[in-house]
Amino acid sequence: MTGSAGSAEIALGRPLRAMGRRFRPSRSGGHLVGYLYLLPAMVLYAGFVIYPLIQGVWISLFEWDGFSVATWVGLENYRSILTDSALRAGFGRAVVLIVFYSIIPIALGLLITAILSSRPMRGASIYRTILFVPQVLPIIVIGIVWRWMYNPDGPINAALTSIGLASLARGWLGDFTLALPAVGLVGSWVSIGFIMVLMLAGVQQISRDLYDAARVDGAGRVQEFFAVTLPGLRNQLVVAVMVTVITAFRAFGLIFTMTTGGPGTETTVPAWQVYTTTFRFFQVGLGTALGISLALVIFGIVSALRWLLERGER
Amino acid sequence: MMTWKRPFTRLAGYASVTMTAAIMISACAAPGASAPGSVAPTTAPSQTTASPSAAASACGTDSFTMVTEDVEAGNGGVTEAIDQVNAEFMAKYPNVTIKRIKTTFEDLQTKQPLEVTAPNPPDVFQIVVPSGPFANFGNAGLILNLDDYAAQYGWVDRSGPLLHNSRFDSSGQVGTGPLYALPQLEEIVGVYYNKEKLAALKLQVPGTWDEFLASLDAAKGAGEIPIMVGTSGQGHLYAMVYNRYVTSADINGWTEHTAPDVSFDSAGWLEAARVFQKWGTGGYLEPDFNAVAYDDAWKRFAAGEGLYLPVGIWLHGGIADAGGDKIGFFLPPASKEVPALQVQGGGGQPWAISAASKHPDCGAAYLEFMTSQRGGEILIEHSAHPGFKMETVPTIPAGLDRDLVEALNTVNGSYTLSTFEGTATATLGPVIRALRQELLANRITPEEFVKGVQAEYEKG
Repeated sequence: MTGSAGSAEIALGRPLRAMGRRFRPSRSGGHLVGYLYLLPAMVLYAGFVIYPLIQGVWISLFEWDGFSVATWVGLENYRSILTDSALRAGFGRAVVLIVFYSIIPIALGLLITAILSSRPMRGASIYRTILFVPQVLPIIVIGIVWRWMYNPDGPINAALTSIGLASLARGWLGDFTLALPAVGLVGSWVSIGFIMVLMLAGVQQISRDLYDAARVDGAGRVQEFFAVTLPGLRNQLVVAVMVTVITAFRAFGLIFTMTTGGPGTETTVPAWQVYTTTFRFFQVGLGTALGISLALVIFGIVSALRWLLERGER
Repeated sequence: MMTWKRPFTRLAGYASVTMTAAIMISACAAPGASAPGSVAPTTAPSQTTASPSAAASACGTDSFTMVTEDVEAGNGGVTEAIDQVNAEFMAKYPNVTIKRIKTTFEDLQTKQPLEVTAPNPPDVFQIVVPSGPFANFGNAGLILNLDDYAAQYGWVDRSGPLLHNSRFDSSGQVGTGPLYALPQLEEIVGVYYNKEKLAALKLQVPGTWDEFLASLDAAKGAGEIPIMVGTSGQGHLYAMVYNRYVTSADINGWTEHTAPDVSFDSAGWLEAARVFQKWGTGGYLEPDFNAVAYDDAWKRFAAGEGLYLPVGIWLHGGIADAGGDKIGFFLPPASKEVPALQVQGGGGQPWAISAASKHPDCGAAYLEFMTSQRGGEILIEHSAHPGFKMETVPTIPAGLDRDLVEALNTVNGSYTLSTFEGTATATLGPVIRALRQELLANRITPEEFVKGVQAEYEKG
C-alpha cells in the first residue's frame, strides 16, 4: 500500500534520477512534452476527483432530497453542522477511534517489528502472513465475523464463561459504554498487519552498521530499539500515523455491519452520519456538507500531524 | 521519502485553471434540475395518468421484459409467493418476461431515489412509504397516478383502508390525494406465543391488556423470558404498548401532522414509555436485548425461547416454518385506557408503476393479477396475508396460518389501524430508535423520552 509505494520510490530513486540527467530536455519548450505525458492522468484525476469534489461543494449549498428540484440555502448547511450538538458528538467519537485505529496498532506493530526483526526466528514469515490476513479481508466480512464473535451467545462470551469469568460476559455491541471500544478493537486488529509490514520494510533499510555500532557501545536490545530502530523508522511512522488517523475518521464499514450507530447513538461516527443524513434522511445537501467538513477536518489534522512529525527532520 | 510538494509551473497552472473552470460551469446547475418532474409539462403528474386499455390486451403481443423490484428478499413465504405470481403471470401473458430484482427494505430505502430518477428505472416496484421523500415521487412525475386503473379494476373497494399509505396529495401529505401505489399484503404487528409455555403457566390467551401484563409477571415468576425482542424489534414492541394508551386517531393525527393539538409529550405516551421502560429494566426481555439481532430474536423464539414475540406478520412465513405447531398468534388485546381494538400497521410496501415504463398497462395488469383471487390464494399458500378482500377465502389447515387468518377475521372491520410514529418526519425514525434503546437501558427517564421525541418532531 502506501508503504510499499514509498519503498519502491526509494529503490528506484537513484536510477530514475540518473536517467533524468541523461535525457534532460532542452530549455525551449521541452517541458511541454512532459506535461503531455501527464495529460491522461490529469484528465482522469479531473474527471473522477476534481469534478465530483466541486460538484459536492456545489450540492452542499442546497437543500435537496435527491430527486426534486433543489433549493439554494448558501452556507446554511455548514451553519447547522457547527450548531448541531449531535453532529459534533460524532467527531468526538472519531477521536476515540484514533486511539484504537492508530495508537494501539502502532504501539503493537512496533513491538512485533522489534521481536520479528531482532533475530532470525523460525516461522517468521508465517507470523507475518497471519498478522497481515485482516488487511486482505473485505471490511464487510470482518464486520460480520466480529459481530458474531461479540454476540451474547458468541465465542468471546463462551470463552469468558469457560474460564470462570462469566460475570464479564455481556452483549458487547449493545453495551452503551463498551460498544465503541469493541468496534475500535476490531479496527486495531485490522490495522496491526499494515503497520507491521510497513515497519518491517523500514527496518530492512536501516544500516546494519548502526546496530553494530550500538552493540559496540554496549546497548542492549531495548536501548538498541530506542536508539537505532525507532529513529530509523521515522518516515514509516509518519505514514503510519497519517494513514491510520485518516482511516479512523473515515470508519464506516465496521459501524455499518456491526452496530449501525447504536446502542442509542454511542457508535454514531461522522462517516455514518454522512451516510444516514444523505441516504436515510435524504438531506443530500446537509449530508454532502458534512462529508466536505469531514474531509476538511481530516486535512487539517493530518497537516498538523505532518508538521509536528516532520519538524525535527528539518 | 514522502514528498508532497509538487512543482507548479505556469503551464500546469493555466491547464488546471481552464479545466477547473470547465468543470465549474458543467457542475453549476441546481441539483435535480434535470429530474423528470422538472423538465417539461409533458411529464407533469396530471399528464402521466395513462389511459387503461382492456385487460386482455394490456400486455400486447410483442415480446418484452418487465423489470420489477421488491423488498421481500428476506421474508421467506412472501418472496416465494412473488416468484409464483410472476411464473403464473408469464404463463398468462407469454410475450412478457418478468425480471425480478429482490432487495430488502433498508437497501431499497437507500437506493430508490437514485433508481427512480435514473434513465431506465424498473417498470413496477414497491415504494418505501410513507416516509421521507417517497411521498413526493408522484408529485415529481416519477410514478403514475393509478386512479383510472383503480376504477377499472375495482381496487378501492377491494383494498379499502389499506390504500391509506398509497395516497399522496400535491404537498406530499399521506392518506389523501390520488392513488399512486397498490399494496399486496397486509402488514400489522401482532403477538406470537409459545403454546406449551402458556399452557404450563396455566394461562389462556389474554383477552385484555391487564391479563397480558399479568401473564408477563407469571412468566417471569416461572423463570421464563416473557418477551423476545432483539434490537430492531423494539419499535414494533413499543408500538404495541402505546396503542394501549393512545387512541389511533391521536397516533395518526400526530404522525400525519393533521392534529396540531396532539403532542407526544402527553399522558398516554408517557404512560406507554413507563411500561416499556419497566420491561427493559425489570427483566421482562431477553438478556442483552440491545445486542440481539432482529433475525436472531425471532429465530430463538421459534426454537422455543420466550413466551411472547410481538412482531410484524411479515415474519410469519419464517416463524411458521421454524416453529410450526408449537406457536400461536393473537392480536394485542384492548386496554381500559383505550377500549377500541387498535392494530399497528396497514398495507405492506405498495407497488407503483414507473412513469418511464413503456408498458404501463401491462404493469397495471400485473398489479391486478397479484391482488386477484388467484393472487390471494398464492399468498395464503405461502403463509402470507393478502392486503385485499378475496371472493372466497380458501380453507386453511389448522395451525399457525389459520390462527393468523382467524385472528384477523374475528375482528375484521372492527379494528382500526395506527401508523408507525417514526414516519412522522424524515429524521424521526432513527432518532426514536436511539431514544428507545436509551429508555430501555434506563439511561433516560420516560419524561425525557417523550420530550425528546416531541422536540425532534417539531424540528420538522
